[in-house]
Amino acid sequence: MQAPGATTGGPQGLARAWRRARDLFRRHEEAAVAGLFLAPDVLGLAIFVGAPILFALYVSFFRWDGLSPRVWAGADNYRQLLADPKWWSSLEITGSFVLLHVPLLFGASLALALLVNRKLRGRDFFRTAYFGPVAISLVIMSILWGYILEPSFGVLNYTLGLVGIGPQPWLSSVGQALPTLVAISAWKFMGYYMVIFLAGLQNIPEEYYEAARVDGAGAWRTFWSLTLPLLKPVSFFVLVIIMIRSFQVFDQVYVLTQGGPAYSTYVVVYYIYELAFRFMRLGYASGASVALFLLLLVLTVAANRLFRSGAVD
Amino acid sequence: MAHRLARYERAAVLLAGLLLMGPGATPSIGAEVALTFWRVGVPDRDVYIQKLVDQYNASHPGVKIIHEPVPFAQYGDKLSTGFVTGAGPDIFWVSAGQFTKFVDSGVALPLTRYFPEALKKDLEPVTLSAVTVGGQVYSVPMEMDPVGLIYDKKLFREKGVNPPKTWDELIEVARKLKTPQRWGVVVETDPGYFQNFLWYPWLWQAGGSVISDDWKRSLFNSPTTVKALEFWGDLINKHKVAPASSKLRDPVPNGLAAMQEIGMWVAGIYRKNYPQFELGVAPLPIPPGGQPVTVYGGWSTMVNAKSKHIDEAVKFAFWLFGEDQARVLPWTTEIRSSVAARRSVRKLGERFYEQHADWMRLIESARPEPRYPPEVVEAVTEAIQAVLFRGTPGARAAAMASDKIQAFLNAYAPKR
Amino acid sequence: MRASASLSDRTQGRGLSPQIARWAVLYAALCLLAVVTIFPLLWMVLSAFKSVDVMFRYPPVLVPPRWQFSNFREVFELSPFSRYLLNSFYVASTVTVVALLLHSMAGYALARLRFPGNRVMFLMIVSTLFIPLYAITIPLFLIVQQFGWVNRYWGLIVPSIPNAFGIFLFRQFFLSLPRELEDAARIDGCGRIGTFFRIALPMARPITATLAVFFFLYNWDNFFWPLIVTSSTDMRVVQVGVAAFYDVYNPRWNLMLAGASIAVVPSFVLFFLLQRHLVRGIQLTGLKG
Repeated sequence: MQAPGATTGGPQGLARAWRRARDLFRRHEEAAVAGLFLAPDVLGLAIFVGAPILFALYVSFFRWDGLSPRVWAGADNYRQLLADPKWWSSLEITGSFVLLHVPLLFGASLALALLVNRKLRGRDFFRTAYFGPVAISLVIMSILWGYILEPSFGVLNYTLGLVGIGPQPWLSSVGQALPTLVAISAWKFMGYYMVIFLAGLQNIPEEYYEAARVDGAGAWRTFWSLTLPLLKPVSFFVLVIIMIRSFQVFDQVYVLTQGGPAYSTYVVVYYIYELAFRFMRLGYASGASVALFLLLLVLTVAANRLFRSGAVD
Repeated sequence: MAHRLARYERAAVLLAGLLLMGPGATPSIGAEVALTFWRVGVPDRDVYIQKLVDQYNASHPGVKIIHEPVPFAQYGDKLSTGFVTGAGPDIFWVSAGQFTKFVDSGVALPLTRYFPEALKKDLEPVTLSAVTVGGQVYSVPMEMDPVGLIYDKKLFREKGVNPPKTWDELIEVARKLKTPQRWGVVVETDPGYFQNFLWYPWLWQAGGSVISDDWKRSLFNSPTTVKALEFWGDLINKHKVAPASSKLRDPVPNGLAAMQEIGMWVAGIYRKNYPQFELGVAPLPIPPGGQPVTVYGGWSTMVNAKSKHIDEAVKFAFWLFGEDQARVLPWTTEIRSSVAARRSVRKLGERFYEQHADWMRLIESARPEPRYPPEVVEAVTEAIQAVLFRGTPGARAAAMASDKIQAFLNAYAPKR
Repeated sequence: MRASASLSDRTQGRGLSPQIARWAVLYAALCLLAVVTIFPLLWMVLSAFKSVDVMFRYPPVLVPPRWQFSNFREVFELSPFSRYLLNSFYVASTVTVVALLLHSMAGYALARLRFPGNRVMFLMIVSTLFIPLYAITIPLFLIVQQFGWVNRYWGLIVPSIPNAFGIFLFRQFFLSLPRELEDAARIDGCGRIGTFFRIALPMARPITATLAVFFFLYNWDNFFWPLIVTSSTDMRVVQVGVAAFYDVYNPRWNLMLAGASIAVVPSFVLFFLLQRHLVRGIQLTGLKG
């Protein structure tokens, strides 16, 4: 390798520089390629997500309505948050949503993936059918479900009436609104995570199943000892993603209940949204967002520890 | 292999296309002064406003008004973001819900010194005072949507029933007309500005009020509030004549309800979509010892104080619906089915207003939608929702809300 | 595949009925679920052909008594809906293609390449998922504004590309890929970049197909950000165009449903086309290319 700073004529110098770069590259090939592969995305995330997050963190120490100058507030926003009954109740409601939603969605999508993965008659049809709801946009969700779940004249109660079940209030009652939202959300995203599980299932080579069958393993045994372990990385992903997204549930609340009836579906992100866009309390909204961020960080790290499969093997 | 290459080639082409098409569709701004005009838009109505804007641009060389309609449900969000980031419009429509926010934060330009005398005299006084704060006028009123009790005329005729005049009569008539396929009356159940808007008249009829005129004291914790809250709650929970979900679409023409509290805007829509339906309009029923009162809503035109072209913006704001009556008439009558705020326009549209005489009568007792800040609106929403859905006694709901309102008012010190 | 050995195999030595009964119940459940997932879509599309007075009638009417094609015509007459479709298509496809490329590279790096700070980098990337969009809308808008991308395609496309979800999924997928093929390629002298493009990425076809559908769908249905970053009607995306028909005074339900029915088509077409990739297994034997 050339000593640094050695001067030589143009083309020779360039050739040497190129060779040095190439040697360096070869020695640290892994790291260099990693850098190359990660650079665009990391840069993008830093600019379009990282920077706004830091901005939110910064603003959380101020009182600001977005239109007047910022006023330094120190940790006031956080102190106020801890004493805010609306914050805690929205957290509680969100927690209930998460506890209901995560197992339901995870279990249903996994079950569907396993079922649809077999050589079933009409498999293509079922797969497309279950994926259908994912394609329905939010704007339409409200019309659709508002119509279907209408307590007096909606399709669902009408159908239930045909089999002798009385009309249910669904989204119009404090008791049923949140579970109904959970069900609607599961309905919408079941196919989504089913498809992810399906893709993950494709990773398990045919040969493994052959071997299992030759060994005489039954369906359940195959699932438990072969499929599930090999699905661990994808399962970890699905679990973490569902958990994060459940904590951040907003869209369904926004189009279907607006936090009602009587604030029974008033989730955390809806509160943040109202704080930022309706009450124009940007500092406080940012503080709440940072708190949510930290909560999710803790939960994800815990999930990672628990699962211990997300690690680079 | 070939498949893979083709995929990456396509990616490269798309990237190249991206680079080339990058700039995207923004209108070119020559030597003209360009102003953005935002309003709540629905495609069929946008057409008329666009026509007016084109007319203005043609007759005012050197100025270009860019009309950008925004979907109704997201109008507030877009306005907020726009003003916070300095990308707000020069001229825009506001309703009572956003009015105070923009006045308090200095976004709204005081229009008093630009306001033509003729227009001032022409406007219904109540509409002008509704947009006046601290002696300054902050927007140009244009329309009034009065709220009344609509009913199925044919049904009432068949059953030999008259529209109710009192709260007790309302319960009676609703009970009589209720069947498993049809509710007696519909009141708004979804939380938000709209629910509050429809509830205030019931509070006012009983003689109550949310806050004092000087905005210093909460008057919400009173027997009148309790009466108004519990009346709505009872309609749904005790007498069971009103549904717990007002997500019904056009319930009265569809035969799903006998009566509904709603605004004048339905007149035009029902005439078009339900030609067989006979729309009856009655004033809102009053409680014993109460006064007939209703509410009206509507939009007005505001100017952005931080606009780079204040004079041009103001000019357009007044030109739109504050000058030639012929421009205003089609908007308020055929298109919006509302009452024009200007007397001269009402005179011009005499025929239309005669056809809607029942609605016009409501104007006499109509108060403008209050322009309470979001915190007050929120407290009222909590009270209404608690009584409707949690079975909270009216007294407790009123007291809790009142405390919140008073706490807010104590800290409320807008610098205008 | 595993359990679908012929019926006779499995019923040897057992009664025939329990097996068939189990299959019947299974099938019934699958069908019921299919009804639940399809019905709302069906109602949406059928209602797009109804007139307003029929749409919300009671008892409910599923099939329109009179097919009102004019709903669709009105959608295109009243608004530049084809422009909205074009905008959405342009944005969604561009983001999808670029994102697939970038995220697969990033995911692979995190899964297979050793470098200092791999774990930390992964955690930091995933942590970008913890903040809701509404908390960062304003600073994001300010940044996009600085670049001059407000009301422009760049403003719709570029901020939508970086996405931890895609990186995360690719990483997990590459982690679960059996190493044999890659190791063989390395032994054969293939560099890391080559290994990625020639071995790993082709094996990732199921995930790539999945994410192609997801990214396209997400950007096609994206609503809030496009609403905020664009203001002129000719920059509108299709979902904002559909939402524009709603208004508390005169909601045009039938037009909204007509618009939505049109908007739903490309997603389904894409899913249909890429479906077969979702269930293509991988074989250990036989190297590709």
